[in-house]
Amino acid sequence: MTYAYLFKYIIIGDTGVGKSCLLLQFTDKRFQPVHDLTIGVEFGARMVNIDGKQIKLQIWDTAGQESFRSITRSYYRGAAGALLVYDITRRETFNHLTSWLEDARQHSSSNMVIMLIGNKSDLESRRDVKREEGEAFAREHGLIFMETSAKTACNVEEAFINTAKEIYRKIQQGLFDVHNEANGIKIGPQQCISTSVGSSASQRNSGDVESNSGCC
Amino acid sequence: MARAPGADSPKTEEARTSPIPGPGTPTGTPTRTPSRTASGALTAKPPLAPKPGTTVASGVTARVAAVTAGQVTSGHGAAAATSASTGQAPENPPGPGTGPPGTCEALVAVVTVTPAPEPAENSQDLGSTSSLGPGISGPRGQAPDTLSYLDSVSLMSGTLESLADDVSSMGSDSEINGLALRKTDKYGFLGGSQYSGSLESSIPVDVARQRELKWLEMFSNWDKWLSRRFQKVKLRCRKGIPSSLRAKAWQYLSNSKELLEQNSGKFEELERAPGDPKWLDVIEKDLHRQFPFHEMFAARGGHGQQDLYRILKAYTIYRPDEGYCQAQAPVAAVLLMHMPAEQAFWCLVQICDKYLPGYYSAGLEAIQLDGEIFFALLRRASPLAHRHLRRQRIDPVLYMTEWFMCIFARTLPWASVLRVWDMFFCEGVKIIFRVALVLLRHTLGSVEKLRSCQGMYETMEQLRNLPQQCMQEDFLVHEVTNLPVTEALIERENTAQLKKWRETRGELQYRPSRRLHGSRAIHEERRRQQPPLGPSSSLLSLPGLKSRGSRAAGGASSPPPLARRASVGPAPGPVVTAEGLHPSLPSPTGNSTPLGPSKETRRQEKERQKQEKGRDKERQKQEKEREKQEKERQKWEKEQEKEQQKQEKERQKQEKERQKLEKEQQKQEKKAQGRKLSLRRKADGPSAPQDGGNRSSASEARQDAYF
Repeated sequence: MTYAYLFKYIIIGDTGVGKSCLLLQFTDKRFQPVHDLTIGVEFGARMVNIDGKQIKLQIWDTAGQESFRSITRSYYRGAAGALLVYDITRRETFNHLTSWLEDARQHSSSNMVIMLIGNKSDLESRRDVKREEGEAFAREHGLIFMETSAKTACNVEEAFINTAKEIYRKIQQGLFDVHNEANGIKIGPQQCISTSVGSSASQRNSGDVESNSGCC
Repeated sequence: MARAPGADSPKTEEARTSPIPGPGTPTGTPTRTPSRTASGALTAKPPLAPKPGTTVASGVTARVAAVTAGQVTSGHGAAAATSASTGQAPENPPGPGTGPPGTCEALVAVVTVTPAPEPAENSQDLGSTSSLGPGISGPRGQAPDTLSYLDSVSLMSGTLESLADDVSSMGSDSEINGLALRKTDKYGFLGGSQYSGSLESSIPVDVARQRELKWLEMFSNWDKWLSRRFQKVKLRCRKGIPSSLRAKAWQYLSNSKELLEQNSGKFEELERAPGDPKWLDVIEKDLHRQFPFHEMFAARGGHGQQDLYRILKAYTIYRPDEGYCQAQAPVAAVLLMHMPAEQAFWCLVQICDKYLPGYYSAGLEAIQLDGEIFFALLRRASPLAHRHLRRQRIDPVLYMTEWFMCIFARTLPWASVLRVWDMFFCEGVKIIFRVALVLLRHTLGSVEKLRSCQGMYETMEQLRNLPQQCMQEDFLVHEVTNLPVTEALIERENTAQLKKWRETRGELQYRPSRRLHGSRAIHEERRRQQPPLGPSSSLLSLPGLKSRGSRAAGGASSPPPLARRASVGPAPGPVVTAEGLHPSLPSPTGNSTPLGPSKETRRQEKERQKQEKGRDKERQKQEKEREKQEKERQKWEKEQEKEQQKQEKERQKQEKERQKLEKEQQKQEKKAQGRKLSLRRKADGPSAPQDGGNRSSASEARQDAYF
């Protein structure tokens, strides 16, 4: 399917906060309590519509365990958006947000849009982190905030789409250099030909021609 | 080596050997050992081998029949053999171990697949508790203890769901419909991406039986085979270990069997230790996320998940410095599908300590380093894929982490996983590198394939969805076998990449022990740690056996010392000298050193020292001999490498030619597109591909200098 833009997302946060479930809920619209542990990285993709433009979200779902952090860092490169997830029923996952955020800021482009997500909002009775705390943390660090439930699908769509909207807004404002793939944004194939972007794309192509990458 | 009672099922054997280190030498019971299991395996075989196909197709009843057949023919090997190949592998270890209750358990375990959740669940638990037994000193007394412990960490509290319940939650998966739910494939998978229908080729009965016999023969003379005929062992691993003997073979190949014998009771001890809550917490969260579509791990709090908890926890206590890494869980789970917890634990220890040291340590530096090594090797195995990945700046850790850390257990179809593990246990990490290289070569190795991977995103998607054909068992093994990536090459690349790492990123935080490349290296290390005791005339008189023999000769010294060790047991005296000779190598038996009572007369002491000196000399002599042999071996290896390199060159030449052709085609395509590059192309055209070619040949030359 063709798309106007492709955004790369990355989902980060402690192990067991529901990163993979959020992804699955968003891409497949289902909740699967039985799934494999994420080791390394998993992928998901889905089309969304923002302002009448088709946008493909390519989402990288990462391993949460501390020992994988060193590797997770290389996943940040070229991400336009990040979902930073904690579990509202486990305070320690909230406490670790600062170090995740540090990592994210350090290893990604400064324009990356970060959405803070308090997941498992369906487990109200076991809540350990107040919504206000999440909001305060987000405000303090300039993040967008939402509480979601991957189980009931509550706010899941919104979380991904609002992030996309924010990225799109930044593109409109010219904050993102959309021609640099390192920013996590790619212009869709048909756009290359029809818009002014074409020239830069063909430049890249001709570069490839000379070195015979075989990509084009 | 105390592996005398050899060839019956791992469980019984272990139960028997643990109290007595070595009732006989490895060669001492050749007739008894194979014949016992042989009879079992053989009688079981006729119904079993054709069965997998039919059982998978016809479901539960057939499988029950198969198990009963095994049970009738013999209580031991047969049950193991039958259940292993009918997809009951996870159930088989407790079965043969506990005799009648065990076989009964195996039967019930089959029933778990039928929709009778409640009783099945109960008996499954019974089964798993009984599986605690034989490996540990007090078979029955142990069980409640462990269970109560598990209870105490709230693992069991309220999480015991019936299999049917769990399965119903899987029902949302489109791959599984109501009918398929009740059937497993022959490996025990109920669904999910690992589920393999009945597509696989099965080996003819007589071939399977032949192979079983050959393996039984090898088990009965294991040390001899490993030291003198390793090539043959390797070949047989490459052909695939018979499923009925796989668990046992893995334990022999990794030497975890001996480790278990030397540490009898240790696992139990580790189980009783409290453990660090930091790790236990994470482990608990991961239990239901390991092969959730395998019947053994499908039920929350079921015996599979319990055993998984036991061995992962035990490891964090065994290696507190390493703790628990999430990628260990799938590895442990695969082991548990084949053997009881205690055996799986020691096997896991060998993988983490010997085969892949550092893989599961904090920081994952070993994985990152292997990623770099892999990438360097890729340049040689598939220059096109290498260049593509480099251009798109795709770090190796982005795609190889899961492959390497889980030894492909979550990547390949199950039949291929088992074949890869068979080879891995024999040949070590080299196999992981080779498999990964083959996968990449067939995913990104041609211009045509790269055409659909224009950006990093497409490439990554491609790497997450590898072409089925290249993962298919026979094809993969064939490719892996023919890939000229040797241990020496990996080691050299290791040195080079380590140097680079230090230059760019500083010293490594974690310094893993030396990686051992498979069975033979483990075998040799063991021999170095436990050198022969007496005068070594026998040792020296054993010449290199064949022309190829530097290798063989290298190992020829092992049977006498082993035989002796088995009969003598861990004699304290010689161990001391051994430590003196190899201060860096900790001796597992070092603790038994006599503390030298102060009243000991000097005369005796001197006498002993004298004797020891004599032995020392002897040993040094042997050592020298061994070094010599080692050198010869290296020489031989080098020669072999040269040969492989030659072939490699040939291949690269062809590759180049192909590339040239492809470029030519591209050029024509471009021409057709009517771009105005024609002039330039005329000038550069002939040289442009040449240029690329030269560059790659230059790099080849550089690499060639390596050999």
